[in-house]
Amino acid sequence: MTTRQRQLAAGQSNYYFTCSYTAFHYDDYGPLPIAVEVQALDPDGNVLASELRGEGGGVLVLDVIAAVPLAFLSSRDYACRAFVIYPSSPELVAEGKIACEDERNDILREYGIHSVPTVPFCSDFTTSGGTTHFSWPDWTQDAGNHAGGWAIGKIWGQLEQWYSSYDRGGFRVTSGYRCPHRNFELPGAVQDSRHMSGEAIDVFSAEHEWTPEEHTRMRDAARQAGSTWQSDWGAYNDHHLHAQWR
Amino acid sequence: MIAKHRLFVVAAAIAMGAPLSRVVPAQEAVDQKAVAQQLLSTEVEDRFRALAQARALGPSRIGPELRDALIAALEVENRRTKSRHEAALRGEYLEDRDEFYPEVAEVVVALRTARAIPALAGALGHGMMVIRALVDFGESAVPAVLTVVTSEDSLVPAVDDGLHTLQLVVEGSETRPLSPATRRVIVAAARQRLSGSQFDTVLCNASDLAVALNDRGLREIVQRLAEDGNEVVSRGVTDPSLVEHVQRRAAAALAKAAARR
Repeated sequence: MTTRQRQLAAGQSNYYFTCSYTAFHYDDYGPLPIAVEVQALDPDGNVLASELRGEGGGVLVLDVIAAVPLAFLSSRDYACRAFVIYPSSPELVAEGKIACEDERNDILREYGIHSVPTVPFCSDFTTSGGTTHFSWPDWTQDAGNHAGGWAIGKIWGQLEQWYSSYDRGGFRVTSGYRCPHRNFELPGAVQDSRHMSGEAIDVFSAEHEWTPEEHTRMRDAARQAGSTWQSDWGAYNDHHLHAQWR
Repeated sequence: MIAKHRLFVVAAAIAMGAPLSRVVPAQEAVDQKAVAQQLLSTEVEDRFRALAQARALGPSRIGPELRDALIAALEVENRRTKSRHEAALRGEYLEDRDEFYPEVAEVVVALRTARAIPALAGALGHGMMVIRALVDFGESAVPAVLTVVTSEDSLVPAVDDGLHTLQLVVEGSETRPLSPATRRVIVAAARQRLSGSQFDTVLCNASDLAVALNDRGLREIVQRLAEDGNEVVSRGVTDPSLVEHVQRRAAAALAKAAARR
Protein backbone atom coordinates (compact mmCIF):
# COMPACT_ATOMS: atom_id res chain seq x y z
CA MET A 1 0.00 0.00 0.00
CA THR A 2 1.20 3.49 -0.75
CA THR A 3 0.00 6.30 1.40
CA ARG A 4 0.28 9.46 -0.54
CA GLN A 5 -0.99 12.03 1.87
CA ARG A 6 -2.10 11.99 5.47
CA GLN A 7 -2.94 15.18 7.19
CA LEU A 8 -4.81 15.95 10.38
CA ALA A 9 -5.94 19.52 10.83
CA ALA A 10 -7.93 21.50 13.31
CA GLY A 11 -10.04 24.34 12.13
CA GLN A 12 -13.24 26.22 12.25
CA SER A 13 -16.25 26.29 10.04
CA ASN A 14 -18.99 28.77 10.86
CA TYR A 15 -19.69 28.07 14.54
CA TYR A 16 -18.10 24.67 14.67
CA PHE A 17 -14.75 23.54 15.92
CA THR A 18 -13.60 20.94 13.43
CA CYS A 19 -11.08 18.17 13.15
CA SER A 20 -10.44 17.03 9.62
CA TYR A 21 -8.34 14.27 8.20
CA THR A 22 -7.42 13.92 4.57
CA ALA A 23 -5.88 10.80 3.15
CA PHE A 24 -5.33 8.96 -0.06
CA HIS A 25 -4.45 5.29 0.33
CA TYR A 26 -3.47 3.33 -2.71
CA ASP A 27 -3.70 -0.37 -3.08
CA ASP A 28 -0.36 -1.43 -4.48
CA TYR A 29 0.79 -3.84 -1.82
CA GLY A 30 0.06 -4.99 1.68
CA PRO A 31 -3.00 -4.77 3.88
CA LEU A 32 -5.46 -2.14 2.90
CA PRO A 33 -7.08 0.24 5.29
CA ILE A 34 -10.83 0.01 5.12
CA ALA A 35 -11.78 3.27 6.79
CA VAL A 36 -10.58 6.22 8.78
CA GLU A 37 -12.06 7.75 11.87
CA VAL A 38 -11.41 11.27 13.04
CA GLN A 39 -12.38 12.38 16.51
CA ALA A 40 -12.73 15.66 18.39
CA LEU A 41 -11.97 15.38 22.09
CA ASP A 42 -12.70 17.59 25.08
CA PRO A 43 -9.94 18.60 27.56
CA ASP A 44 -10.54 15.39 29.54
CA GLY A 45 -10.07 13.21 26.49
CA ASN A 46 -13.74 12.41 26.02
CA VAL A 47 -14.78 11.91 22.42
CA LEU A 48 -17.29 14.64 21.63
CA ALA A 49 -17.67 14.01 17.94
CA SER A 50 -16.40 11.53 15.46
CA GLU A 51 -16.77 10.63 11.86
CA LEU A 52 -16.06 7.24 10.42
CA ARG A 53 -15.67 6.82 6.67
CA GLY A 54 -14.47 4.05 4.46
CA GLU A 55 -14.93 2.76 0.98
CA GLY A 56 -13.50 -0.72 1.25
CA GLY A 57 -10.34 -2.08 -0.35
CA GLY A 58 -7.94 0.53 -1.66
CA VAL A 59 -9.42 3.23 0.46
CA LEU A 60 -9.69 6.71 -0.83
CA VAL A 61 -10.74 9.03 1.94
CA LEU A 62 -11.24 12.72 1.54
CA ASP A 63 -11.79 15.33 4.21
CA VAL A 64 -13.27 13.32 7.01
CA ILE A 65 -14.56 15.88 9.46
CA ALA A 66 -15.64 15.71 13.07
CA ALA A 67 -17.22 18.91 14.30
CA VAL A 68 -18.15 20.29 17.69
CA PRO A 69 -20.75 23.05 17.69
CA LEU A 70 -18.93 25.52 19.91
CA ALA A 71 -17.50 28.95 19.26
CA PHE A 72 -13.84 28.61 18.39
CA LEU A 73 -12.44 30.97 20.96
CA SER A 74 -13.89 28.98 23.80
CA SER A 75 -12.92 25.64 22.40
CA ARG A 76 -9.17 25.78 22.05
CA ASP A 77 -8.66 23.22 24.79
CA TYR A 78 -9.97 20.62 22.43
CA ALA A 79 -7.91 18.07 20.57
CA CYS A 80 -8.16 16.02 17.42
CA ARG A 81 -7.03 12.54 16.55
CA ALA A 82 -7.30 10.24 13.59
CA PHE A 83 -7.27 6.47 13.19
CA VAL A 84 -6.73 4.47 10.06
CA ILE A 85 -8.66 1.25 10.39
CA TYR A 86 -7.31 -1.97 8.97
CA PRO A 87 -9.31 -5.21 8.88
CA SER A 88 -7.39 -6.45 11.91
CA SER A 89 -7.14 -3.33 14.03
CA PRO A 90 -7.28 0.46 14.11
CA GLU A 91 -4.02 2.40 14.07
CA LEU A 92 -3.69 5.83 15.64
CA VAL A 93 -2.00 7.92 12.97
CA ALA A 94 -2.20 11.50 14.19
CA GLU A 95 -3.26 13.57 17.15
CA GLY A 96 -2.91 17.14 18.27
CA LYS A 97 -4.04 19.52 20.96
CA ILE A 98 -4.98 23.09 20.20
CA ALA A 99 -4.30 25.09 23.34
CA CYS A 100 -0.86 25.68 24.87
CA GLU A 101 0.27 26.78 28.31
CA ASP A 102 2.24 29.81 27.11
CA GLU A 103 2.38 32.75 24.69
CA ARG A 104 1.64 30.48 21.75
CA ASN A 105 -2.00 30.93 22.74
CA ASP A 106 -1.74 34.58 21.69
CA ILE A 107 -0.78 33.52 18.19
CA LEU A 108 -3.42 30.79 18.12
CA ARG A 109 -6.03 33.38 19.06
CA GLU A 110 -5.17 35.26 15.85
CA TYR A 111 -6.29 32.25 13.82
CA GLY A 112 -9.69 32.59 15.49
CA ILE A 113 -9.90 36.37 15.10
CA HIS A 114 -9.13 36.12 11.39
CA SER A 115 -11.28 33.02 10.83
CA VAL A 116 -8.41 31.07 9.34
CA PRO A 117 -9.88 27.74 8.22
CA THR A 118 -6.86 25.66 9.19
CA VAL A 119 -5.60 26.11 12.74
CA PRO A 120 -2.22 24.76 13.84
CA PHE A 121 -1.78 22.49 16.80
CA CYS A 122 0.17 23.74 19.81
CA SER A 123 2.96 21.30 19.05
CA ASP A 124 3.44 22.78 15.55
CA PHE A 125 5.19 25.87 17.01
CA THR A 126 8.91 26.01 17.77
CA THR A 127 11.39 28.73 18.70
CA SER A 128 14.20 27.53 16.50
CA GLY A 129 14.69 25.77 13.23
CA GLY A 130 16.10 26.33 9.82
CA THR A 131 18.60 24.40 7.78
CA THR A 132 22.03 24.87 6.31
CA HIS A 133 20.68 27.07 3.53
CA PHE A 134 17.48 28.49 5.05
CA SER A 135 18.00 30.39 8.28
CA TRP A 136 15.47 30.77 11.06
CA PRO A 137 15.71 34.60 10.99
CA ASP A 138 14.95 34.62 7.27
CA TRP A 139 12.08 32.21 7.78
CA THR A 140 10.57 34.27 10.60
CA GLN A 141 11.06 37.79 9.20
CA ASP A 142 7.27 37.99 8.63
CA ALA A 143 6.28 36.06 11.76
CA GLY A 144 5.18 39.09 13.78
CA ASN A 145 6.84 40.16 17.01
CA HIS A 146 5.40 37.61 19.37
CA ALA A 147 6.96 36.95 22.76
CA GLY A 148 9.02 33.81 22.74
CA GLY A 149 9.76 33.98 19.02
CA TRP A 150 7.38 31.14 18.20
CA ALA A 151 6.79 30.17 14.58
CA ILE A 152 5.93 27.14 12.47
CA GLY A 153 8.23 25.47 9.96
CA LYS A 154 7.10 22.23 8.34
CA ILE A 155 9.09 22.09 5.12
CA TRP A 156 12.76 22.09 6.10
CA GLY A 157 13.54 18.81 4.33
CA GLN A 158 11.77 19.95 1.19
CA LEU A 159 13.61 23.28 1.18
CA GLU A 160 17.00 21.57 1.36
CA GLN A 161 15.95 19.23 -1.42
CA TRP A 162 14.92 22.27 -3.43
CA TYR A 163 18.33 23.85 -2.87
CA SER A 164 20.04 20.66 -4.06
CA SER A 165 17.83 20.30 -7.13
CA TYR A 166 18.30 23.93 -8.10
CA ASP A 167 22.04 23.43 -7.91
CA ARG A 168 22.79 27.07 -8.76
CA GLY A 169 23.50 28.70 -5.44
CA GLY A 170 21.62 30.42 -2.68
CA PHE A 171 18.07 31.68 -2.22
CA ARG A 172 16.99 35.11 -1.02
CA VAL A 173 13.98 34.51 1.22
CA THR A 174 11.45 37.32 1.51
CA SER A 175 8.73 35.54 3.48
CA GLY A 176 8.34 32.25 5.32
CA TYR A 177 6.04 31.72 8.28
CA ARG A 178 3.47 34.48 8.84
CA CYS A 179 1.26 34.91 11.87
CA PRO A 180 -2.31 35.72 10.83
CA HIS A 181 -2.05 39.40 11.82
CA ARG A 182 0.97 39.82 9.56
CA ASN A 183 -0.59 37.80 6.77
CA PHE A 184 -3.69 39.95 6.66
CA GLU A 185 -1.66 43.16 6.61
CA LEU A 186 -0.48 42.18 3.15
CA PRO A 187 -2.46 43.12 0.06
CA GLY A 188 -4.24 40.18 -1.55
CA ALA A 189 -3.75 37.92 1.47
CA VAL A 190 -5.88 34.81 1.37
CA GLN A 191 -7.84 33.20 4.16
CA ASP A 192 -5.96 29.92 4.13
CA SER A 193 -2.50 31.04 3.05
CA ARG A 194 0.03 28.25 3.52
CA HIS A 195 2.39 30.84 4.98
CA MET A 196 0.29 30.64 8.16
CA SER A 197 0.78 26.90 8.44
CA GLY A 198 4.53 27.03 7.81
CA GLU A 199 4.25 25.32 4.45
CA ALA A 200 5.05 28.15 2.02
CA ILE A 201 7.94 30.41 1.17
CA ASP A 202 8.64 33.38 -1.14
CA VAL A 203 12.09 33.55 -2.73
CA PHE A 204 14.36 34.98 -5.37
CA SER A 205 17.71 33.66 -6.51
CA ALA A 206 20.47 35.22 -4.43
CA GLU A 207 23.14 34.76 -7.06
CA HIS A 208 21.62 35.11 -10.51
CA GLU A 209 19.84 37.90 -12.28
CA TRP A 210 16.13 37.42 -11.67
CA THR A 211 14.69 36.74 -15.12
CA PRO A 212 11.78 34.60 -16.35
CA GLU A 213 14.37 31.97 -17.25
CA GLU A 214 15.86 31.87 -13.75
CA HIS A 215 12.35 31.79 -12.29
CA THR A 216 11.64 28.76 -14.47
CA ARG A 217 14.80 26.96 -13.30
CA MET A 218 14.02 27.56 -9.68
CA ARG A 219 10.41 26.54 -10.20
CA ASP A 220 11.39 23.30 -11.90
CA ALA A 221 13.66 22.53 -8.96
CA ALA A 222 10.81 23.23 -6.52
CA ARG A 223 8.64 20.74 -8.35
CA GLN A 224 11.44 18.18 -8.13
CA ALA A 225 11.35 18.76 -4.37
CA GLY A 226 7.66 17.90 -4.39
CA SER A 227 6.17 21.38 -4.21
CA THR A 228 2.43 21.15 -4.75
CA TRP A 229 2.05 24.65 -6.19
CA GLN A 230 4.39 27.36 -7.45
CA SER A 231 3.50 30.81 -8.69
CA ASP A 232 4.16 31.85 -12.26
CA TRP A 233 6.20 34.80 -13.50
CA GLY A 234 3.11 36.95 -13.96
CA ALA A 235 1.60 36.27 -10.55
CA TYR A 236 3.27 39.12 -8.64
CA ASN A 237 4.54 42.47 -9.73
CA ASP A 238 8.00 41.80 -8.24
CA HIS A 239 7.90 38.29 -9.83
CA HIS A 240 8.96 36.54 -6.62
CA LEU A 241 8.54 32.78 -6.61
CA HIS A 242 5.99 31.49 -4.13
CA ALA A 243 6.22 27.75 -3.47
CA GLN A 244 4.09 25.68 -1.15
CA TRP A 245 3.91 22.13 -0.03
CA ARG A 246 0.21 21.51 0.64
CA MET B 1 -17.36 -7.07 -0.65
CA ILE B 2 -18.14 -3.59 0.53
CA ALA B 3 -20.69 -4.89 3.00
CA LYS B 4 -18.02 -7.16 4.43
CA HIS B 5 -15.69 -4.22 4.83
CA ARG B 6 -18.39 -2.25 6.60
CA LEU B 7 -18.76 -5.06 9.10
CA PHE B 8 -15.05 -4.80 9.75
CA VAL B 9 -15.37 -1.06 10.17
CA VAL B 10 -18.12 -1.40 12.73
CA ALA B 11 -16.26 -4.13 14.59
CA ALA B 12 -13.07 -2.10 14.61
CA ALA B 13 -14.84 1.00 15.81
CA ILE B 14 -16.51 -0.87 18.63
CA ALA B 15 -13.17 -2.37 19.57
CA MET B 16 -11.79 1.17 19.79
CA GLY B 17 -14.56 2.21 22.09
CA ALA B 18 -15.46 4.94 19.66
CA PRO B 19 -18.97 6.23 19.36
CA LEU B 20 -20.53 5.35 16.05
CA SER B 21 -22.85 8.31 15.95
CA ARG B 22 -21.55 11.13 13.83
CA VAL B 23 -21.82 14.70 14.93
CA VAL B 24 -21.59 16.73 11.79
CA PRO B 25 -22.91 20.23 11.32
CA ALA B 26 -26.18 20.35 9.47
CA GLN B 27 -25.56 21.25 5.87
CA GLU B 28 -27.31 24.43 4.97
CA ALA B 29 -29.20 24.03 1.73
CA VAL B 30 -26.89 25.29 -0.99
CA ASP B 31 -28.22 26.62 -4.26
CA GLN B 32 -25.61 25.01 -6.49
CA LYS B 33 -26.82 26.89 -9.54
CA ALA B 34 -26.22 30.21 -7.78
CA VAL B 35 -22.82 29.05 -6.57
CA ALA B 36 -21.96 28.00 -10.12
CA GLN B 37 -22.83 31.46 -11.41
CA GLN B 38 -20.86 33.18 -8.64
CA LEU B 39 -17.78 31.14 -9.49
CA LEU B 40 -17.55 32.92 -12.82
CA SER B 41 -18.21 36.37 -11.37
CA THR B 42 -15.82 39.18 -12.16
CA GLU B 43 -15.77 40.07 -8.43
CA VAL B 44 -13.00 38.16 -6.70
CA GLU B 45 -14.82 38.13 -3.34
CA ASP B 46 -17.81 36.42 -5.01
CA ARG B 47 -15.55 33.82 -6.54
CA PHE B 48 -13.81 33.06 -3.24
CA ARG B 49 -17.18 32.84 -1.47
CA ALA B 50 -18.52 30.46 -4.10
CA LEU B 51 -15.38 28.36 -3.95
CA ALA B 52 -15.66 28.09 -0.16
CA GLN B 53 -19.23 26.87 -0.55
CA ALA B 54 -18.20 24.31 -3.14
CA ARG B 55 -15.38 23.14 -0.90
CA ALA B 56 -17.71 22.83 2.08
CA LEU B 57 -20.07 20.67 0.04
CA GLY B 58 -17.32 18.18 -0.69
CA PRO B 59 -16.73 16.35 -3.99
CA SER B 60 -19.45 13.74 -3.47
CA ARG B 61 -22.22 16.32 -3.06
CA ILE B 62 -21.25 18.56 -5.96
CA GLY B 63 -23.72 18.24 -8.82
CA PRO B 64 -22.98 18.35 -12.56
CA GLU B 65 -23.71 22.05 -12.99
CA LEU B 66 -21.43 23.16 -10.19
CA ARG B 67 -18.80 20.64 -11.26
CA ASP B 68 -18.77 22.06 -14.78
CA ALA B 69 -18.61 25.61 -13.41
CA LEU B 70 -15.58 24.70 -11.29
CA ILE B 71 -13.85 23.28 -14.33
CA ALA B 72 -14.76 26.37 -16.34
CA ALA B 73 -13.39 28.58 -13.56
CA LEU B 74 -10.09 26.72 -13.73
CA GLU B 75 -9.99 27.21 -17.48
CA VAL B 76 -10.55 30.94 -16.99
CA GLU B 77 -7.60 31.01 -14.58
CA ASN B 78 -5.45 29.10 -17.08
CA ARG B 79 -6.12 31.74 -19.74
CA ARG B 80 -5.59 34.55 -17.25
CA THR B 81 -2.22 33.12 -16.31
CA LYS B 82 -1.04 33.08 -19.87
CA SER B 83 -2.16 36.65 -20.55
CA ARG B 84 -0.55 37.90 -17.30
CA HIS B 85 2.66 36.11 -18.25
CA GLU B 86 2.70 37.85 -21.62
CA ALA B 87 1.93 41.22 -19.99
CA ALA B 88 4.74 40.67 -17.49
CA LEU B 89 7.16 39.91 -20.31
CA ARG B 90 6.16 43.22 -21.93
CA GLY B 91 7.13 44.89 -18.65
CA GLU B 92 3.60 46.02 -17.78
CA TYR B 93 2.79 46.79 -14.15
CA LEU B 94 0.68 44.01 -12.60
CA GLU B 95 -1.27 44.15 -9.37
CA ASP B 96 -0.30 41.16 -7.23
CA ARG B 97 -2.56 38.32 -8.16
CA ASP B 98 -5.09 36.88 -5.74
CA GLU B 99 -4.63 33.20 -4.91
CA PHE B 100 -7.85 31.97 -6.47
CA TYR B 101 -5.93 29.91 -9.02
CA PRO B 102 -4.38 27.32 -6.67
CA GLU B 103 -7.57 27.22 -4.63
CA VAL B 104 -9.83 26.42 -7.56
CA ALA B 105 -7.29 23.95 -8.93
CA GLU B 106 -7.33 22.11 -5.60
CA VAL B 107 -11.11 21.79 -5.61
CA VAL B 108 -11.14 20.59 -9.22
CA VAL B 109 -8.43 18.02 -8.43
CA ALA B 110 -10.58 16.67 -5.59
CA LEU B 111 -13.49 16.13 -7.99
CA ARG B 112 -11.51 13.31 -9.61
CA THR B 113 -13.52 13.57 -12.80
CA ALA B 114 -12.09 12.82 -16.21
CA ARG B 115 -14.04 15.79 -17.56
CA ALA B 116 -11.48 17.98 -15.82
CA ILE B 117 -8.48 16.50 -17.65
CA PRO B 118 -8.15 19.26 -20.31
CA ALA B 119 -8.47 22.01 -17.68
CA LEU B 120 -5.94 20.30 -15.44
CA ALA B 121 -3.56 19.89 -18.36
CA GLY B 122 -3.97 23.61 -18.96
CA ALA B 123 -2.86 24.22 -15.38
CA LEU B 124 0.40 22.30 -15.83
CA GLY B 125 3.46 24.29 -14.86
CA HIS B 126 2.52 24.92 -11.25
CA GLY B 127 3.70 21.82 -9.45
CA MET B 128 2.86 18.40 -8.14
CA MET B 129 -0.78 18.89 -7.19
CA VAL B 130 -1.89 19.02 -10.82
CA ILE B 131 0.71 16.49 -11.95
CA ARG B 132 -0.46 13.88 -9.42
CA ALA B 133 -4.08 14.42 -10.38
CA LEU B 134 -3.29 13.79 -14.04
CA VAL B 135 -1.11 10.78 -13.28
CA ASP B 136 -4.01 9.26 -11.35
CA PHE B 137 -6.07 9.30 -14.55
CA GLY B 138 -3.37 7.18 -16.21
CA GLU B 139 -3.48 6.65 -19.94
CA SER B 140 -6.68 8.67 -20.40
CA ALA B 141 -4.81 11.85 -19.44
CA VAL B 142 -1.98 11.29 -21.90
CA PRO B 143 -3.50 12.96 -25.02
CA ALA B 144 -4.18 16.23 -23.17
CA VAL B 145 -0.73 16.24 -21.61
CA LEU B 146 0.88 15.50 -24.96
CA THR B 147 -0.90 18.50 -26.46
CA VAL B 148 0.86 20.70 -23.89
CA VAL B 149 4.22 18.98 -24.20
CA THR B 150 4.42 19.09 -27.99
CA SER B 151 2.98 22.55 -28.64
CA GLU B 152 5.47 25.26 -29.47
CA ASP B 153 3.03 27.74 -27.90
CA SER B 154 3.27 26.17 -24.44
CA LEU B 155 5.18 27.98 -21.72
CA VAL B 156 8.37 26.24 -20.62
CA PRO B 157 7.14 25.37 -17.08
CA ALA B 158 4.06 23.72 -18.58
CA VAL B 159 6.26 21.63 -20.88
CA ASP B 160 8.48 20.72 -17.91
CA ASP B 161 5.56 19.56 -15.80
CA GLY B 162 3.97 17.79 -18.75
CA LEU B 163 7.15 15.82 -19.36
CA HIS B 164 7.28 14.90 -15.68
CA THR B 165 3.64 13.82 -15.77
CA LEU B 166 4.37 11.51 -18.69
CA GLN B 167 7.41 10.15 -16.87
CA LEU B 168 5.28 9.21 -13.87
CA VAL B 169 2.60 7.66 -16.09
CA VAL B 170 5.29 5.58 -17.82
CA GLU B 171 6.87 4.56 -14.52
CA GLY B 172 3.44 3.51 -13.28
CA SER B 173 2.80 1.36 -16.33
CA GLU B 174 4.08 -1.74 -14.57
CA THR B 175 0.81 -1.80 -12.67
CA ARG B 176 -1.31 0.19 -15.14
CA PRO B 177 -0.05 -0.88 -18.57
CA LEU B 178 0.01 1.59 -21.44
CA SER B 179 -1.11 0.61 -24.92
CA PRO B 180 1.71 0.30 -27.50
CA ALA B 181 0.18 3.19 -29.47
CA THR B 182 0.26 5.51 -26.46
CA ARG B 183 3.80 4.50 -25.66
CA ARG B 184 4.81 5.29 -29.22
CA VAL B 185 3.42 8.83 -29.10
CA ILE B 186 5.13 9.44 -25.76
CA VAL B 187 8.42 8.27 -27.28
CA ALA B 188 7.88 10.70 -30.15
CA ALA B 189 7.21 13.56 -27.72
CA ALA B 190 10.36 12.80 -25.75
CA ARG B 191 12.36 12.72 -28.99
CA GLN B 192 10.87 16.08 -30.04
CA ARG B 193 11.92 17.65 -26.74
CA LEU B 194 15.42 16.23 -27.00
CA SER B 195 15.88 17.67 -30.49
CA GLY B 196 16.39 21.13 -31.89
CA SER B 197 16.76 24.12 -29.61
CA GLN B 198 15.33 23.57 -26.12
CA PHE B 199 15.40 25.31 -22.76
CA ASP B 200 17.74 23.64 -20.26
CA THR B 201 14.97 22.44 -17.90
CA VAL B 202 13.13 20.92 -20.85
CA LEU B 203 16.22 18.93 -21.81
CA CYS B 204 16.51 17.71 -18.22
CA ASN B 205 12.89 16.62 -17.95
CA ALA B 206 12.90 15.08 -21.43
CA SER B 207 15.99 13.08 -20.41
CA ASP B 208 14.18 11.76 -17.34
CA LEU B 209 11.21 10.75 -19.48
CA ALA B 210 13.43 9.22 -22.16
CA VAL B 211 15.18 6.99 -19.64
CA ALA B 212 11.88 5.96 -18.04
CA LEU B 213 10.62 4.86 -21.47
CA ASN B 214 13.52 2.41 -21.76
CA ASP B 215 13.73 3.09 -25.49
CA ARG B 216 17.12 2.30 -26.93
CA GLY B 217 17.29 5.23 -29.34
CA LEU B 218 16.26 7.73 -26.70
CA ARG B 219 18.64 6.32 -24.14
CA GLU B 220 21.49 6.79 -26.60
CA ILE B 221 20.58 10.46 -26.96
CA VAL B 222 20.59 10.88 -23.17
CA GLN B 223 23.91 9.06 -23.00
CA ARG B 224 25.40 11.50 -25.48
CA LEU B 225 24.07 14.47 -23.51
CA ALA B 226 25.60 13.08 -20.33
CA GLU B 227 28.97 12.46 -21.93
CA ASP B 228 29.45 15.31 -24.38
CA GLY B 229 28.79 18.93 -23.49
CA ASN B 230 28.75 19.83 -27.18
CA GLU B 231 25.57 17.77 -27.54
CA VAL B 232 23.95 20.08 -25.00
CA VAL B 233 25.33 23.21 -26.65
CA SER B 234 23.99 22.05 -30.00
CA ARG B 235 20.52 22.07 -28.44
CA GLY B 236 20.76 25.75 -27.58
CA VAL B 237 22.10 25.69 -24.01
CA THR B 238 25.33 27.67 -24.03
CA ASP B 239 25.96 28.85 -20.45
CA PRO B 240 28.71 26.49 -19.20
CA SER B 241 27.16 26.06 -15.77
CA LEU B 242 23.83 25.13 -17.34
CA VAL B 243 25.52 22.75 -19.77
CA GLU B 244 27.09 20.99 -16.80
CA HIS B 245 23.75 20.95 -14.99
CA VAL B 246 22.00 19.29 -17.94
CA GLN B 247 24.78 16.76 -18.17
CA ARG B 248 24.53 15.94 -14.46
CA ARG B 249 20.75 15.49 -14.72
CA ALA B 250 21.15 13.21 -17.74
CA ALA B 251 23.81 11.14 -15.98
CA ALA B 252 21.65 10.92 -12.84
CA ALA B 253 18.66 9.69 -14.87
CA LEU B 254 20.79 6.97 -16.46
CA ALA B 255 22.25 5.97 -13.10
CA LYS B 256 18.81 5.77 -11.53
CA ALA B 257 17.59 3.53 -14.32
CA ALA B 258 20.67 1.33 -14.07
CA ALA B 259 20.14 0.94 -10.33
CA ARG B 260 16.56 -0.19 -10.95
CA ARG B 261 17.57 -2.94 -13.34
